Amino acid sequence: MTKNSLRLDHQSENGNPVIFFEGSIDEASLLEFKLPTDRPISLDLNNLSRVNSAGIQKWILWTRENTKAKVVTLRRINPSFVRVASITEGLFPSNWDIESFYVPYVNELNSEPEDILYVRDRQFTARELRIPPLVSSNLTQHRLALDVIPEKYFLFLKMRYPGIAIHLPPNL
Amino acid sequence: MRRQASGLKVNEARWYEFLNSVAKTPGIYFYQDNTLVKREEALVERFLNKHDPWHDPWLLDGAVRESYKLKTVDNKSETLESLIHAIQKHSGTDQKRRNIVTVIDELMLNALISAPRAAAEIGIQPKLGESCLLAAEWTDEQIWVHMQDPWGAFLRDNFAKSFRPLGNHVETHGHSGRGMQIILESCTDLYIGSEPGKLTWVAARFDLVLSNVEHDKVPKRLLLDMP
Repeated sequence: MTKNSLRLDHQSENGNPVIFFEGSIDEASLLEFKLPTDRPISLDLNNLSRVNSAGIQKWILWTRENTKAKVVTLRRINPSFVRVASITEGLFPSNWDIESFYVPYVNELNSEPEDILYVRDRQFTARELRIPPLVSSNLTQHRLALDVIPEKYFLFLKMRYPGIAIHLPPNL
Repeated sequence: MRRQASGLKVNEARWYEFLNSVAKTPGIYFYQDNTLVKREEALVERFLNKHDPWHDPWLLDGAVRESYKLKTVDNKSETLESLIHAIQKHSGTDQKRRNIVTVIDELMLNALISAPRAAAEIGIQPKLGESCLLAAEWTDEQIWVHMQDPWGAFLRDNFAKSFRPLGNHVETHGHSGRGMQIILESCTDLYIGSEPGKLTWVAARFDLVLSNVEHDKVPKRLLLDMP
């Protein structure tokens, strides 16, 4: 029997449920739990290591089985999820919101990768994304360079928030 | 050594549907000697031994090579982890690891799920005991991933499906349409060969030294071997 590749840790924050995703969403994942219809819930995708196309299918079917969920907030979305979300329509139902997501950067000094968290109402809203012109490493304080193609990586925001304006910094 | 692609032994209507779809797909080029060529004129390179395409070194001396047998979906994750561990152990590819893992995963899915399913649909029953072979070669600068599909169905049916107009592909394509899109989004070059009734192979190349921005400007190559 195939081992479940996805671990879900159910916790509570301020009385509302938070589910931490860990592992992979793929053909071996069990994604069947019902989302609450009477209160908001947050899904934390920080430790999601991998999402493949079979997993995308499971995710979409799962969201369609939970259309009556009250408010679903996605936070700390891992680049693995962002990349597939940016080439697939229908991953985010209209009542699902994005609180934060990671963006890959690279340290210009030593070429080490580092993911930077973009947070709603800081770097983006439902109307616009402003890619910061200068980002410093949280670890070394060195300057970081954006390590994605903005036109492709941030497409998932356009899918969730049609009409969102994406402002590139002048040096890109 | 290069061989001219010639002759057609697969269903011609399906084959031309596939070719036409590819030609309309943005970002896909038939690219030969630094020149865009007509798709009918594309030549196949590097595949000196088509029955065992990774037998001859694809990379320069000094490359590390690993091969794995894929038997069922059940051993896919284990095999994937082993390969990634080997790559990480021998080279500094961590920066591009996420993209490479994604593509290897998609190739495995096609070889273990989509291709057998497509083979059954078109009347080529998978033979018991046959398994897929995954091979990888890498240096610090690039990595090749090879996949063998013994049912020969990857290109004949499943891959052609992948290039239908995307639209609302979520319901119409199973996972294959998105899987191929993931592959094309991430690799520098993609090579596909088919020998009907015997085997199909797929090879993906990644440049590891380019930045993502530079990487995106490299034309993807789709060179087709149809003996």
